[in-house]
Amino acid sequence: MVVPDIVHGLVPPMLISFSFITPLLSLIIKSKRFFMVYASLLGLLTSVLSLVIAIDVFREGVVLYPFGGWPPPIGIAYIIDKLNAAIALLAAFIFTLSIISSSVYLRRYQKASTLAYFYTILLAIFTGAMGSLYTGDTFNLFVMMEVMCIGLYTAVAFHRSRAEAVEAAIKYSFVSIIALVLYFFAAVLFYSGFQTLNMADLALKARGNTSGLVSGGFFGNYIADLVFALALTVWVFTLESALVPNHFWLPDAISEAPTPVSAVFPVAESVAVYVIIRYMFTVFGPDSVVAEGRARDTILVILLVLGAIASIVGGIMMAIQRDAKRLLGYSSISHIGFIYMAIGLAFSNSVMHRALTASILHMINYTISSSLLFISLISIESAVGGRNIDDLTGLGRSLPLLGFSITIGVLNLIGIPPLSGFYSKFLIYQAALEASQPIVAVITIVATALTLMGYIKLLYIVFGKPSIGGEKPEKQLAVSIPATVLALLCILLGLSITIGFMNILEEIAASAYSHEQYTEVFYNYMEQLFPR
Amino acid sequence: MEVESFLFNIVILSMFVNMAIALYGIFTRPSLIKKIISLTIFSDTVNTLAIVVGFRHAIPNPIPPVVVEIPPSSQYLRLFVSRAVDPLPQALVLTAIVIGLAVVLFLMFTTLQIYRIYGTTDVRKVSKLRG
Repeated sequence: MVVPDIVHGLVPPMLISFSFITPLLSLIIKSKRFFMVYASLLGLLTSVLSLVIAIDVFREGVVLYPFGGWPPPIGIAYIIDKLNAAIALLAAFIFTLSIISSSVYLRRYQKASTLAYFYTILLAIFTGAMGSLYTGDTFNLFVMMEVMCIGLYTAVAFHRSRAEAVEAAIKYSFVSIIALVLYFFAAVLFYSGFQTLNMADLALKARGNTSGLVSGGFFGNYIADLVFALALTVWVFTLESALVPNHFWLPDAISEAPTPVSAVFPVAESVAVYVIIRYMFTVFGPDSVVAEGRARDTILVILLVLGAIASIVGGIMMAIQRDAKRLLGYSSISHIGFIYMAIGLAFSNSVMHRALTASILHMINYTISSSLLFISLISIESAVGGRNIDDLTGLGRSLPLLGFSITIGVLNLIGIPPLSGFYSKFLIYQAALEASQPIVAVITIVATALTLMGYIKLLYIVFGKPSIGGEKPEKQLAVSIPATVLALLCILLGLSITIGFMNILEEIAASAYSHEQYTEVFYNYMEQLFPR
Repeated sequence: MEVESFLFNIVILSMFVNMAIALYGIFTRPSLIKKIISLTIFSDTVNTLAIVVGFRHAIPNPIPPVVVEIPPSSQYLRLFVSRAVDPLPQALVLTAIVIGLAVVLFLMFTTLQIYRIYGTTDVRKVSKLRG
């Protein structure tokens, strides 16, 4: 009898309860420092817990945690394999650094209660991201996505007296709410066809193995349900990850949100990308019912085409931006396009392994370096009081640590050889050639060249001439240390890719498309509790 | 029997029509308040559809998934299992309703804030952001 380890299910309930306590604490405690330390400690604790989970998963294989003792097909279960453990570790790390650096951003607020509200929102986003990564339940994913997205809308509307912020919030929240209602509809359709909401159960049934399952067989015309529901799911999560043509909310939201929250937007997008990978490869993989009628191939080809368009549109729009955060928002769109291009290339089974490795590596690179740039911007924009990129010119000069990390972040996003951004783009290129799609290979190069125009503007922050008589930014360790840590991480990933990191990545990619381990844990657990 | 299944089909069809009308309202009405009303209609239709998914045809009638006899006798349980509707969609809908409440509250607040700042809830006039 396997006794589930409490650590595996601890993170989201712990975070959400601490998040909801925070506004109550602000009634009693009037110290700003307390809330900063409180949130940072929670972030560190979560990072440690997610590290422990990741070590467990990499050492012992897939982990299953049933909530409240309800066995998997009946209750909610967390199923953690290498893919979610790795992404969740990265997410927890970036959230922690963002919380630490937010202390600089929040310096302008006098009242401790403002900080308490801010950290309530940030911790709620954190909970939602971790919950949607760890969960193995279709409906729980909906709830956790809602938690994350409600947090994000509120964060975008945080400067509620700014006209632009409120407008961005209403734009973002409307499309995202409609999308998530549709995902709820999709979850109900999955339930009506397959009579289960558990992802591992769905994965087993999608491959036609119904023997010994507690949830029984199929109901009605489940193929029609499945195709409709899968199409809805993919649409919803491409919207949440801002893939063209549903990208319009991202530049507004990311530029109007408080900068520490902008730094976690890339993580929120990666969560949505993770969900797409989970659905398209683990649950409804190439050997499932969906693959028979070409439905799966069609979806993947659509993702490939949209990804290619996104990478180019993002690159072109970047070049004409004047607002530094908006520029980074379009850079996000371009990189999300690259990730989806890699996912879409996996439609032919022979390149699936390489394409998934490329997409996961690019997701990691993009998340780290984009968050790094936003965190660095906190310090620089607070010195100028604006985000116009011409005013920021040369401000990185007087801050060596920050200038270094901005340079590394930009170079990583462009993809300069020793950094890992190069390897991920190279892998996409290689996968495109292997899948005999030379046009896609050319598009990766063209899109990189297009984004170069925008990134040069960012490099001016470090290497440009500072305007005479301009204000000098102060040295702020709470920003420059997290930024430097992320920059060193970029370099480390790039250097270690040839000496072992690639093997880990390939293991992660293999766990994304091979469902055996994912479903085996579920099946064994179910068999123990419901002996037939 | 035929009349029953005909009516059932009509109900499901009307729900899809309702969803289409609600989406039309969301995308074409310029007023934010009307958009929010359409959104609630949309999410409530999806919720009702979820309840219908849990419906079950039983003779003479299906019963709610609540055990009223405590402790239940085995005869009662047999009757219960053969006639009770599926409780799981109802649980899902409860959760979705609570989430919908939070979301609509947020939307109302933001609309109020837009009205305070712009003096209108017409989305065509709320356009400070460009590009």
